[in-house]
Amino acid sequence: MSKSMLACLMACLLLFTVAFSGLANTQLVMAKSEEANKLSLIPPWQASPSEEEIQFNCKYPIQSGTSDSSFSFNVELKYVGGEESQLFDLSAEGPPDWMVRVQQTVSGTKELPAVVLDPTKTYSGESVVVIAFPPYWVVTEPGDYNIKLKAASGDLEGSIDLTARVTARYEFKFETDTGLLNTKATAGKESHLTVVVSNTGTANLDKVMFSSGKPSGIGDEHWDVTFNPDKLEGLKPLEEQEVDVIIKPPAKTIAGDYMITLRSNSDPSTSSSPELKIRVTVGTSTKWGWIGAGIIVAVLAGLVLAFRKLGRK
Amino acid sequence: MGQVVIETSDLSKTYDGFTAVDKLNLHIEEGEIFGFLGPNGAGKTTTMLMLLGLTAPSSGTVQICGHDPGREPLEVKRVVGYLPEKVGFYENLNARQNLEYTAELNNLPKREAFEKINNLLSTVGLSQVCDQEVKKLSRGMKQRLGIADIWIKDPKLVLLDEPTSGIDPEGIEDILTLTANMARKGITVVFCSHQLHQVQRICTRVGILNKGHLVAEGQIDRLGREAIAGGRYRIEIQVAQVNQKLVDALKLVEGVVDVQGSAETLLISCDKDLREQISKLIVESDNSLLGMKIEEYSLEAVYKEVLS
Amino acid sequence: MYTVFRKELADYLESKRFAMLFILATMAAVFAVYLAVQNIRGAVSSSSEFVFLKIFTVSSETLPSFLFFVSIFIPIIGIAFGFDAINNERASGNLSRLLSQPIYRDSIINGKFLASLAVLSFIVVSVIAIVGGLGLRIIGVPPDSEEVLRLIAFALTSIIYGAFWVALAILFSVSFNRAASSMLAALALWMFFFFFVYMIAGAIADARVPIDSNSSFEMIAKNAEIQGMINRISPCNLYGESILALLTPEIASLNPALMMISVIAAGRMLTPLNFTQSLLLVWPQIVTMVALATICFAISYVRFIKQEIRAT
Repeated sequence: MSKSMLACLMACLLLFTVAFSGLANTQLVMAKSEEANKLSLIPPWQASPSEEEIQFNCKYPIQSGTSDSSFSFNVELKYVGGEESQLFDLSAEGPPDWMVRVQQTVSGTKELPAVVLDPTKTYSGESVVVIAFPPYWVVTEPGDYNIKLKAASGDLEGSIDLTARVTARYEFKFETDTGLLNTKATAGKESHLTVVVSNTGTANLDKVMFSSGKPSGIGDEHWDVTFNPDKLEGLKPLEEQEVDVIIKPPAKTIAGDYMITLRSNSDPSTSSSPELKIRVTVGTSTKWGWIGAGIIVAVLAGLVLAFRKLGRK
Repeated sequence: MGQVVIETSDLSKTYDGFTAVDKLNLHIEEGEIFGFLGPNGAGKTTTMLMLLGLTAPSSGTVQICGHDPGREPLEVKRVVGYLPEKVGFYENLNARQNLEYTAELNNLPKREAFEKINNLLSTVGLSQVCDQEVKKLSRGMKQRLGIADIWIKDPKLVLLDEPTSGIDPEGIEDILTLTANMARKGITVVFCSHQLHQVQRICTRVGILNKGHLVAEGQIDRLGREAIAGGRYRIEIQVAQVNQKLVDALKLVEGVVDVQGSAETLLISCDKDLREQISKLIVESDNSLLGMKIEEYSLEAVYKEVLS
Repeated sequence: MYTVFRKELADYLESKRFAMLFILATMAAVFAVYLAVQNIRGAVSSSSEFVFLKIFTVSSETLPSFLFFVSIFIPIIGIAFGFDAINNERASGNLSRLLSQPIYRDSIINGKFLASLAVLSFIVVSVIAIVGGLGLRIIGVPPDSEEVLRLIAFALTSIIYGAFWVALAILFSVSFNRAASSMLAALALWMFFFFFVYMIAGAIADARVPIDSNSSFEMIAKNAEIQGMINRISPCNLYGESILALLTPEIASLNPALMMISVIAAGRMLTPLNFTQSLLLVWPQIVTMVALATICFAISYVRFIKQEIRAT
């Protein structure tokens, strides 16, 4: 009787418990069922220390940057459930052509092919750094790129997905073809200057437009600076195009040096629009220069003639 | 009798109440060398300026070759050469250039002027220095240049105002010779000077001006006779022996007014030049005529006499 | 007369004073141009159309403009070529010799006046041409037809002004027997016109309408007007006003008070006048200068003709 009574009591208790837990702890059950997929909802090593697993923790698993920057993720690894330290092989893989390295620190140079994790220690974990470099020889398209860090030891293995979000960088260079920042011009005449626009960014520039700032002083409204073509469209990264700048000082420009500013801006706009300050040396038009000299010579000739004709000696 | 070159009648000039020239009547004919004398301030230069038309007369008239200098100045200036007392030239120019300028002012064609200037420069003896600036020339050279200057226009009448003042004797000689040469070429000369013996040497006629008045005018010997000897000739003779007989004989010669005598010389005053008759008489009276001269009247004496 | 003119012209051209004055004037002009060109960029406003004229009018901080040099040089040149015209002839004993030549008496004074004026014109035109040529060579901006017209008017006005000084100097040379006296007299008169009239004008204006830093605008204008009126008795001022207005098309009025009102009170931009308007503006000044020159010459002419050559 005592045996059956005990069994009966046990059964009743169990039933009760089950019934009760079924009513009250639905959430807990659901949470537990999720635990297999999601790692970090409940600190794993608290949940069920009995089970042997490797845990990953990354505070900033998604990082964004331009294609010429590197992405580095701090990942903490923890081995739980085991009895003794184990050596885990580390491997990180990224999209094709990407270079992904696992290092101890960001500035470190050595790769970590493996890490020893001690399950007995109750500390936050061993931290490693995953650094991903987009390929430098091609421009990486903007978008999310997945990087996977795997740690494996025997059958035990785990991984974490990290996301490198490549954003577009809009940038271009605006230079003269010769690199010189001065040019010559003649009053009232067109002179040409070639500037080169190169897309040094990581994305297509839909449009690059130009404008110019004219020198202050004489007749600034008459300074004629035109660009040919007046805008560039769809400039691909690394692509460069020449633009012909036609500078025409007004006819009555006094000879001398003038600063003109060539400005550019793009769509989508870049953080800073490059501009060129060009020193334009306006020379005397040869015609007037000669006429001026001619007048002086004529005066001197007149003087000599006056002496010859009117003088005595 | 030549053509009348200068004719003035009652020519007078008054400066601020002071009469410089008073009723001057001159009559000078072609070819004469008229010596114009007088102390300083007598009105000689003023008269010359009036003759030239540079100064207008206060009253009276002037006719130069039939032209009135006040009315037809160019006609007069074309024929009259005037050498002022202090003749000046353009110092920065040379002698030739100065003459060229005068030639141009007289409308002489260039080529003709060039030859003429060359001739004149050699005539006045300045060929050597004609390319020197005038300021380097001596006073005498300038004066000679002045004569060349008035000669350029081929004048009919030349007015020389004190041409010899301040010049060395040699220079004076040159100028007098040049003046005489001018007269020989038919140019009438009015020669104004203080240097009486120079005037006496070259002038055919003189006029003496004092305080604006013409006090004497005529040929020098006539003036002398009139002024000193009461208009008579005086003949001085030297004979071997003077005796009363000879004196009486001389007194009988027609025309002899007076005979005064000393031991060897006799002074005979007479109405005309009786030298021929006197010498004949002496020879005929067996006396020997040792010397005879007719007294010449020095201009200086005349001048002193007239002005006193 | 032509012979006298030619001879005097040749004399003047070969004289030391011509060489000296010509070189001096040219140097001053070149210097002024050089400075003007240095400063021209700052002086030319964006709306200005008369760049070329600025060569003549722009001054630097330290040194005055070409116009100032010209206004000093013209009287000096005029006096230099006139002060001994007659009295030197008389002193050297040339005059009576000259007068005994078959030429009319007025030919001498006319010829001398014209020769002086010709030399003066030659210097003025040469200097303006040198400045223009040099300016053209340096700044490379050609003058337009209106600017050329204005420059011609400027040259003619300068010659008229020079004629006045030549006539005045000849008048003094007729009146004074010694060349030194006539030169000093002419220079003294020039200094009187050039400096003292301005001082006197300022003093009188300040006495009539005293102004200080907090005077009303009307008072300042009135003071300026009185000063301007008194200044007009000076030919220097007449000339200065004329050439300033001829070479600065923006000047719309020569009344200093009106100028001030138009600039300060109205604050309007000065719109340039066209050439005929500028010329009309200075026409009274030019006519006055012509009249002054004519009067001076007429007096010296009459005095010379009437003057008797006296026995010394």
